[in-house]
Amino acid sequence: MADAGTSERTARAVTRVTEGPAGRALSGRPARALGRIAALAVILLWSLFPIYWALNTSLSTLSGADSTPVHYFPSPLTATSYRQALGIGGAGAGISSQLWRSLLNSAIESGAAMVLTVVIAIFAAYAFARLRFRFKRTIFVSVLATLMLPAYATLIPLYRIMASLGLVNAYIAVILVYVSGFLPLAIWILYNYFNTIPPELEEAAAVDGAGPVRALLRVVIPVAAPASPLPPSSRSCSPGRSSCSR
Amino acid sequence: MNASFRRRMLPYVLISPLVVFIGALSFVPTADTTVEAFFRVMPLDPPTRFIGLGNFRELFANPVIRESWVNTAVYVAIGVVLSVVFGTAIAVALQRRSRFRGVILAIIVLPWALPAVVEAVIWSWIYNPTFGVMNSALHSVHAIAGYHVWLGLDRWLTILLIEIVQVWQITPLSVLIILAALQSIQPALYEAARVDGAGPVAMFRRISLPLIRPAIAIATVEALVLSLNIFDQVYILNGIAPLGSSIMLQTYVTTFTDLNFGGGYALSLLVTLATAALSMAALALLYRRVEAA
Repeated sequence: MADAGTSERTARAVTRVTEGPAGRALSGRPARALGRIAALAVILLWSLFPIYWALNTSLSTLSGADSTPVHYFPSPLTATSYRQALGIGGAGAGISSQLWRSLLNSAIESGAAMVLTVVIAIFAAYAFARLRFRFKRTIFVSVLATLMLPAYATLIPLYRIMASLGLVNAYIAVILVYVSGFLPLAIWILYNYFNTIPPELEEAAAVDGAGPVRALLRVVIPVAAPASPLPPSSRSCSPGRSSCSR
Repeated sequence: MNASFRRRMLPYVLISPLVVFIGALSFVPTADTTVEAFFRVMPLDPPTRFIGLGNFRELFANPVIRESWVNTAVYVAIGVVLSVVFGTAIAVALQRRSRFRGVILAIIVLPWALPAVVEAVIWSWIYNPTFGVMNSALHSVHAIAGYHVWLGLDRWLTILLIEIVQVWQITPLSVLIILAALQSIQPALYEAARVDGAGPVAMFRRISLPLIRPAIAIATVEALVLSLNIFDQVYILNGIAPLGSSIMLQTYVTTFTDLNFGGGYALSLLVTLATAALSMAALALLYRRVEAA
């Protein structure tokens, strides 16, 4: 009881102070600005520290990285790890040949998947946004619904499908799986983008004698070009799918 | 072929590649998973035959898999709460326009841009029992008496530390979703509240929170789906050890280590159903259309 009374009184006193002239000064601009700066510093530290730590470790020697207590700055500062990874000066030939090979694989896979996704998505999204056909809504919703599928729900069958086609350990398998994962989001983004383009553009093209395909290729796609590379570069479409399908 | 026929067929031609891709690589595999969950599929020990609920019974009899469901629930609880709370807090901190906001946002998004595998490797070095910065930093401020082995000894600590890696990765997504909603709020609402003498806390609770509720619902569902499917971080930081293993890890182990494909299908199906059910429940609970904005 006594405790409750005391804390109540304290609370009232605190209220009085914070609401009084002194409190107003406290919650005034400098104090709030300081608070904001401190909050931002914490946020930036949280976001960047692990990345900095990877950089710090990568620029240290092995014995520098393996020291106790840890060094917060690379000591001694060295680029040995990078030289080995990149195969500069003949160091660490094994690692570097693997790295270049993997970089090449990634470039081929993501490049092909990106081109294929964009081409397929542009035509389909255009049809969804502009043309009338049967089962349009059903197909559209079904495609978007695959965004909700956990990547792993399709993983084992995909592996078996690819294995039965003899495509395991081939670029084409990874590319096809990437494309099927990227497509729903690409369709969604491009569909919305096409809807922001005034139909008058195509009507003008039609008046000049262009069919829908010509209008799409010559008018709509040039206008939509800024949005087209977006979908494949976004990773949120199918988290984990890429790392697991290998 | 006349022109009108060609014109009528055009939409079907345009969408056919999409339909083939999504059909063959999303719908067929999903249907396959659903059907074969009720079959005994063991590539090294044929034949394949129908066993009804046999796979499911076997999975629920397995204590490691039962524990993994509990672990996954804990992963989800920690992941959803932390990423949504941090996401909201960071978004509110960035609500006010400033010269540096673009740069700060770009930095905040970095963890989301990195692959989960890379992040798990980075954090495994931070958590390293001998050379990790976590031990070193905590020891130098006298928060711990000696160096600890952080992962693989205590079940809940292991789960918490692994999920923190995922929270670090997915919080930026919550920030972006919630910040977008915050920015669509009319400044006039805050002006009116300020005139009425409302403080920052009251303004957040009475104006911001109700209006960003749909965004919080979306962020919650995103975090839920991602943490329910946690795999990379667990696999890299803790291997396939049963302690702290997630249900996705068990799906992987059942399928590719035990080569029990039927069991893997059944687990995949259960995870899919759990994901769908929980997402819809979260949306029904949290999502509400906002008229005033």
